[in-house]
Amino acid sequence: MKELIQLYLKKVYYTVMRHGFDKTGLTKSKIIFSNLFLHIHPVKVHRRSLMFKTTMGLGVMSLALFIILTITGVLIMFHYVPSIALGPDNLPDAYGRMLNLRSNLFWGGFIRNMHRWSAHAMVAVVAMHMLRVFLTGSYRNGREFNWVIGVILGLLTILLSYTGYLLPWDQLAYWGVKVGTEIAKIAPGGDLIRGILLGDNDVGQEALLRFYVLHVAVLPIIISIFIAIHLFRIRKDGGLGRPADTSQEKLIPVSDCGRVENNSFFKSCRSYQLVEFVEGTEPKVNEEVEQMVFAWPKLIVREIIVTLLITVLMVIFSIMFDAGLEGPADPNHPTNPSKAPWYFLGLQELVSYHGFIGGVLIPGLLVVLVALVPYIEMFIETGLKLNRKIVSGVWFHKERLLENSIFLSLYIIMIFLIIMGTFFRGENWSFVYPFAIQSGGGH
Amino acid sequence: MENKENKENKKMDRREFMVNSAVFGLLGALFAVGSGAVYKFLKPVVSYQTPKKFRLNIKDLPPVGDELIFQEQKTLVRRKSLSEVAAISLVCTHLGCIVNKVATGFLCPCHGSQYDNEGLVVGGPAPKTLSWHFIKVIPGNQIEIDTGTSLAENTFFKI
Repeated sequence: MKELIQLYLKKVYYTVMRHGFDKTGLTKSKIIFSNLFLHIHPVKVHRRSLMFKTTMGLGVMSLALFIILTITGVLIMFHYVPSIALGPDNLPDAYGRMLNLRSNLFWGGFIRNMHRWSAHAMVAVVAMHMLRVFLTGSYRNGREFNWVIGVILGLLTILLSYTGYLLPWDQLAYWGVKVGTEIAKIAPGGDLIRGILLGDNDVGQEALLRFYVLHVAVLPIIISIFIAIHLFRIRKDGGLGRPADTSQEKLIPVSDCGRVENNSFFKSCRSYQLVEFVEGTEPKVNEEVEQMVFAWPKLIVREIIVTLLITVLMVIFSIMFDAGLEGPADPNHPTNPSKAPWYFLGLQELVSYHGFIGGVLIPGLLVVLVALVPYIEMFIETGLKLNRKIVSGVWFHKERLLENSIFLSLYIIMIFLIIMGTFFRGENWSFVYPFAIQSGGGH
Repeated sequence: MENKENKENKKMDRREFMVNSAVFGLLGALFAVGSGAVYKFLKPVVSYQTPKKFRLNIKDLPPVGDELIFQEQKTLVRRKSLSEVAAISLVCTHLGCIVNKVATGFLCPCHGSQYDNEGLVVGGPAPKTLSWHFIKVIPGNQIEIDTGTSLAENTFFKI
């Protein structure tokens, strides 16, 4: 009887999962490719990809934050109304819902904090991910277009953050968005975009509704598609960018990556390494077969560790600090100073010198240059017939000294401007010392 | 024989070309028409906000030499003499914040633009003078201020 039950359960198990958890290569492959969620991974990854210093886990961290944001965002949607009509408490509905979320609902404040802080963290982590990819030169050797996709993802992250910024309908939200949409007016054709975005002459009910729809439906769908393209291309390009020969590098020992038993029909055959016979010009072709190890369990476990780490960080931060909420939006009384979200404060600092140059020309040019940087590099190399050795995946490679210095300086200037706008600007945007700030602040 | 096959291939190519161009052409047309329609659909046609024109009773105007701020309409009404009034916009010409009235003129809290009492820029990033609005006397002892207009400084109107 007992045996029959075991047999039955075994049959049931097989209808759900097609593999056990033994140490054979076949099983390790099946775990990855018979699972919808895992099969974005290759069955085998380069040992280099498992090292912390290769990626610092920043890409996985961005994705983890996006998932946290989706879950907390959907939860908030159950309690939110994108309306400025006055409720029974004589407050705009959207704002009243924020108060309800914060003070009445079970875990409401925590969920809101998680959503707010994760949104800020995502902008920061995506920016750091970009810096990592640049400084390691990982976007070269056939991976140029994925850099462009990455820049689009960065812009979408900022757009999502910005559209969400208006939804609480407090003073901070209203004036942050007001300043941002006025910048659009200066740009050529900006009036048209502004009209479509706001749905009216000014920030109001229509703008709140449009930002809401963009924030909860349109942009999440678009960014999901682009995330899929981004990951798909990494996969099709044979994983992360790396030098052609890694035999001299200090890597994680193969013995650390889990034992593999050979269960091949032909005892000496390695059937899953067919790629080694392929010729072509794709980046994937230069795979170092001897350096590849199974993605299960080492890679998957590491991804889970990074996800847990960022989740725990966000939870601790959300328990310790409350997301700010100022008074309800009042179109007639700007806060003083009116500050955009922190990632726009560098831009706002530039705008305070000159509307068009600081608000449109410099940022527009910067985005285009950064998005096309791999193609500019290619253009110069082709034009000057530079015969340089492009090594991707190496931190601060000496061949890339010039590129790295330029990018790093731009990055530092931007951080400097953001710090300037955040801490050194007080009433009427005049220069103050950080400790003198009375009100406002740029959360 | 070879020739015939070539001919047949060419014939097939032509048919394939026709079908493909029709399919992709229609798909392209669908996208073009669709995006045009979506654009027209999203373009706002009515405004739910404060109307651009607002009316005041002449007896509600500030006394001579004084001024009055209308928060809702973001406008300051100034009376020079018994029969001369003007309306000045309180919307900063830089990025649309509401300027504050101070003793020396107007001050923008967002990026620190400074204006004198006539709305002329004296400091900060503002590119233009504050707008002065068009005022029309209408029957019933009322005036109508059009906040959509942008006139030169010191444009006073007879009432």
